[in-house]
Parts: sequence; structure tokens; C-alpha cells
Amino acid sequence: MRLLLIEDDSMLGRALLVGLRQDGHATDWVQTAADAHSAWLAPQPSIVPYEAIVLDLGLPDRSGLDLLRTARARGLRTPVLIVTARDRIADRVAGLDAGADDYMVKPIDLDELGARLRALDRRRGGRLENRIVLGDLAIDPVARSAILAGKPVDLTAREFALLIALARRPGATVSREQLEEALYGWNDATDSNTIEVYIHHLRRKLGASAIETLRGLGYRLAEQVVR
Amino acid sequence: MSTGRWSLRRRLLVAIGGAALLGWCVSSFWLYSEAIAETDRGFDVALDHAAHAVLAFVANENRELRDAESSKGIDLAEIDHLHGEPIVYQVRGPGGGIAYRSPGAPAEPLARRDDRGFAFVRADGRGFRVDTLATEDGAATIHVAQPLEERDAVANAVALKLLAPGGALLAVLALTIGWTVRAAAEPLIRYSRDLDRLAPAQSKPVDSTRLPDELQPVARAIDRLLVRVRDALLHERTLTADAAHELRTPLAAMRLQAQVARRSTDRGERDAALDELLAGTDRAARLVDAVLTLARYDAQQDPKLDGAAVDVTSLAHHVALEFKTRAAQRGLTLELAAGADTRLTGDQDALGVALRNLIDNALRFARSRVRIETSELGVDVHLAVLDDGPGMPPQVAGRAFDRFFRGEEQDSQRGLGAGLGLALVRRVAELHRGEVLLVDGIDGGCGVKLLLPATPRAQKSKVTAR
Repeated sequence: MRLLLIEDDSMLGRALLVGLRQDGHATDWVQTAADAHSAWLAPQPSIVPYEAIVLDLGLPDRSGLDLLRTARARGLRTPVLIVTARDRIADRVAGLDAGADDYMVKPIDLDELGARLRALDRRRGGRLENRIVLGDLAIDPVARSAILAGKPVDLTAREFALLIALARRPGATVSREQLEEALYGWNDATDSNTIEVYIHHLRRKLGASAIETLRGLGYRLAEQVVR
Repeated sequence: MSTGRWSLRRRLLVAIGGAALLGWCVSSFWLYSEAIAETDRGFDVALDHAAHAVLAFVANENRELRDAESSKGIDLAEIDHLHGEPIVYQVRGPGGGIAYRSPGAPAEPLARRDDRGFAFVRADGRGFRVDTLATEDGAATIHVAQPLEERDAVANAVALKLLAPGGALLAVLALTIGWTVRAAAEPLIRYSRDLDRLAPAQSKPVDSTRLPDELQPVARAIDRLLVRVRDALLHERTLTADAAHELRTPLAAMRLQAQVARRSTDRGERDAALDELLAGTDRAARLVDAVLTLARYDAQQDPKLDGAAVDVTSLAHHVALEFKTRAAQRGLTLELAAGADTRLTGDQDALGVALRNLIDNALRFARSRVRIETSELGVDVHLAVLDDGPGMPPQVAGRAFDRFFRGEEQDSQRGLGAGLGLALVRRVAELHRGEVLLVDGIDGGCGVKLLLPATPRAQKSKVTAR
């Protein structure tokens, strides 16, 4: 998923950023409400929209709750998961009522955070389970594995991240920028050819018909991948 | 009330009761003497009346007396009860012999014949008041006497009547004192019960309106004490809560980094996470140290008035030496501009802690140099640490001395403070009855200046020029 992490503490932010990327999420990190505002509420047209927000409430310039209310007032439906040290019931109620979809109290566990984000994603896509099944292809985001016609497919972390980015909305066209965002944060720089290289690898492993190229628009994963 | 000590009630009872008893004794003695004298006079008048009656009777019988000086006697029984008190008498003839004596009168003459008037005598082992009279012709002399025990009985009865109301008065007094003291002590007991029930951080004063006026100053002093205790407690609670809150973040981050390291398959990523974990441990440890130091100086209520003389310049010299290596590693110059006569009475350790925090901050922000200045101005010793860094933004300056406030958030190059350094500096200044100010540093940098009275007694009510 493409995530925006809003966390003012640098140490916590760095840890969350690495943890979220380990889970295969293309994560952007901002430390102030002002930066969060420009990234989430008033983004550049070129920026690919975020699929979920991880929000810390204690921001130096403005309350995270306030930011959340503003976003909801503007009609932004991005799922928001609050991660905060405020553990009183009243705080949780206020957070959820302000428009948050979930609420976690620090200290948090990365596995739990990952599970909750998957739950948000399931709800958003109206799915019952994490596993995405497209014909003979079954993708398991938890185990980070793919099975084609009963046989495990050997995928690298980057290939898997790309596959998930394509598979989250089956049948939909995913732009090149979105795919680049999905790989954003990996140590290697994404030059113009990187996406083509990974698509090529995926086609080799899943079958040439699995991924369709729509020139000028992006890529599309077949709704029925057949071996 | 405690039994080992003298209670207020017992004290009052003994003091007032004793004084009343003494006064009563003195007045009783005086009244008693007066009463005895008065009854004596009364008895004497009555005795004299009786004596004259006897004399008149005797005069009538004179002739017979002459003949019957020692023979048959006369019956004067009817005058025995003339004045209602039992009296005895002797009638002596011209020869001096006893011509007649009433029943119960002693056989021997009660007085000499020529001792006229009243006298106290003893006869037959009893005491008598005797009135001696003689007829006009001197033929007969009479001694009319009243036994003293009669008179004493009457006098004692009078004295008893005097004693009885006094005793009753004492009893009433004791009861009144007991009751009054109990009534006066009741609000006090209630007050102490209220105090016992008081929660440690009580915000409203204990109701003392029912206490007697004399105890109002005590009640007010207790109220003031409660306010001080509450403030100290709240202060401590705030510090504890803030510290716990501040610790949560590094702990949460450390937990995450540990998890990241465990999940990592990439060696570089794992090492980075472990480095972060170590940095987090350091951050938490620094925070705990700072909180403990602050708590220690918070606990000190007063500056060390009896503290030793501290030479601020020499202290600055020593502390600067400690930082020499670190400054050199960062390519910074650490210089000391020493002033003369910079001695003050204070706590050398606390001043050292404050100075270390200031230098530590300055080294983090300085571009090329940090200057420590000491000087003496009037009653104050000045100690300033200046840097040539970017200076403190105005929005930060207002809160710079607040606890757990961090100005420049997280700049890895500058390291990470606990947000307590300047709070600690301010507390040390307070302990010395001094002040701390933000001043201009070198070339637009930041500076912090301590104004410390040379003796803590000197008050800080003076104009401080920036």
C-alpha cells in the first residue's frame, strides 16, 4: 500500500518507516502537520494518492486530530490509523469520532500495525480475506507469497511489492508512477527502466498474458491469471 | 488528648481552681476571724447583760447574802436562761468567799475580785469567758462565765456556713472550666479530624471558621503549609508524569527498532536498526539522568545559605577543560573571558551542572566558537555561555526554559537533548536566588546568562539590563 506516515518523533518515525517498508508498503514520512497537509490534503497533481494514513496525534505545529477533521471535512476518505501515546478511553473515542478508522496506543507492535493496515485495506476493497485470488494465481500479502496453479512462485521482495500494487485493484490500470511509488524507498534508485525490468521478471514467472501493457496509461493485471 | 502531657483543661482547672482556692482560703480566714471577733463581741454583750441581771438580783438578795455567806445559798435558776445561752456564775460575799455558785460552776473563784470586766480563764480544765461585776456597795462580787466550747461551737457553725458556699463555688467553677474547655476544644478536635482526613493534594483550605480567634493564626499557617505541600507535590507529580510520558516515546521507538532488526533479512538494515536501538537507549538514559538531577534540585527548597564560597571563574575554567576534547573534535573553539572577583556563596555542584548543560547546548549549535564569560556587577556575579550558531527562533525563546520542551527537533548532527537542560539551569539559578536570561550570542548566535547574587541573601529585586 502507499502510505503516509505522520510522526513528529524522528526516532519513532525512522523505526516505523523501516517497519512499514519491510511490510512492502510504499511509505512517505512527514514530521509536521504542515507537511502532512501539503502531502495529503493539498497534494501536487502528480502525486499518487495515499491509500492509508498512519497518524500521530501530538504534532508540534498542530493537533493531528485537527488535521484529521480538516481532511474529513474536505471529503477525503483515505483510511486513517491513529498511532499515539494517548491511551485514555476519551482520547480513543475522540480519535475515532474525528474520523479515524482505527486507533493504536504506543508502544505498538509492527506485526499488529501491519495486520490492522491489511484490515483497513480489506474493508476499503470490500474483501473478506487478505488473500487475493485471480484465476490460478493466489497472492498472500501476509505470508508475502504467491501461488500459481498450486506451485509457489519464487519472487523477490521488489517483485512482490510490484505484484501487490497491481493486484490490489484487479482489472484496474495501474500507472507507471504508482508502480514507481510502490517501489519507492527501496535502496536502489528507480530509474526509468526499473519498472520495465520488474514487469519483465513477473511476466516470465507468471506467464506473458498475466500483465497487460496499456501504452501511455500503465499496466493491468489480468483478472483471471491462467497458467 | 494525651494523658502524659498536661491537657489544656487540666491546666486551666489547676490554675484557675488553685487561684480560686487560694483566694477563697484567704477571704475565708479573714471572714472567719471577723466572724469570731463579731460573735465574741455579741457574746460579750449578751454575757454583760446576763451579768447585770445577775447583779441586780444579787443586790436584792444582799441582806440575805450577808448572813448566809456560806450557808443555804439562793436559787437563781430562773436567770440561767436569760440570754438563751448556758452560763454559770459565782456570787462572792464581802469576805470573798463563794456565797453561791450556779450548777456546773467551778468550785474555785473564776477570777480575782478586783479584776473587773471581761477575762478569759481556765478552770476545772475548761475555758471560760468571765465577766466580773460588783454591787455598788462592794459587798458582793459576781463572776458570770460562759464556757468557751459553747462560744466555739457557735463560731464554728458560722465558719462552716462561710465554707459551704465557697466549696459550692469551687465545684461550679470546676464544672464551668471543664465545660468551657470542652466546648472550646471541640472545634479544635473537629479541625484536627478534618486535617487527618485531608488528601495529600487537597486544593481547598480546611474550614477553620469555628476555631477560636487565638488559633486563627495557627490555622492560617497550616493553610499556607498545605498550599506549599500541595504545590511541591503537584510539581513532583507533573515532573513524574512528564518524565514517564517522555520515556514512552524512546521506549516505543526502541521496541519498534528491535522488531525491525529481528524481521530484517538485510544485514545493513539490521545494523541500522540496532544502531537506532542503541541511540534510543542512550536517549532514555540521558532523560532519566536529567530527571533525577532535576528532581534532586527540585527537592532543595532553599539556596545553600551556608554554602561554601565558589569562584565562578575557576569553576568555568575546570568545566571548560572537560569539554576541550569534544569542542576540538567538532572543530570548535571554546574560550573563557574571565572577570575579576567572581566569588559567590552557593552550591558548586549545582552550578557545575548548570554550566555543563549550557556548554553542551552551545557546542551543539555553534558554528565555530563558544565563549564563556564571567564578570562581577554590583551584588551580582554574571556567568554567560555564548555561541555563534543560528540563534534561537523567537517562537522557541518563549518556551526555552520549559521542562521537556525541545527547540530544534531532532537534528542528528546536534544530538538529542532530553528537553530538561535549560529547565535545570533555571532551577539552579532559582536555588541561588538568581535569574537566567536569554541574551544575544556571537554573530547572531544564542547566549544564556546567569545573574547570581554574590550572597543568596541579596534579593534579586533590581533592574536587570539585557
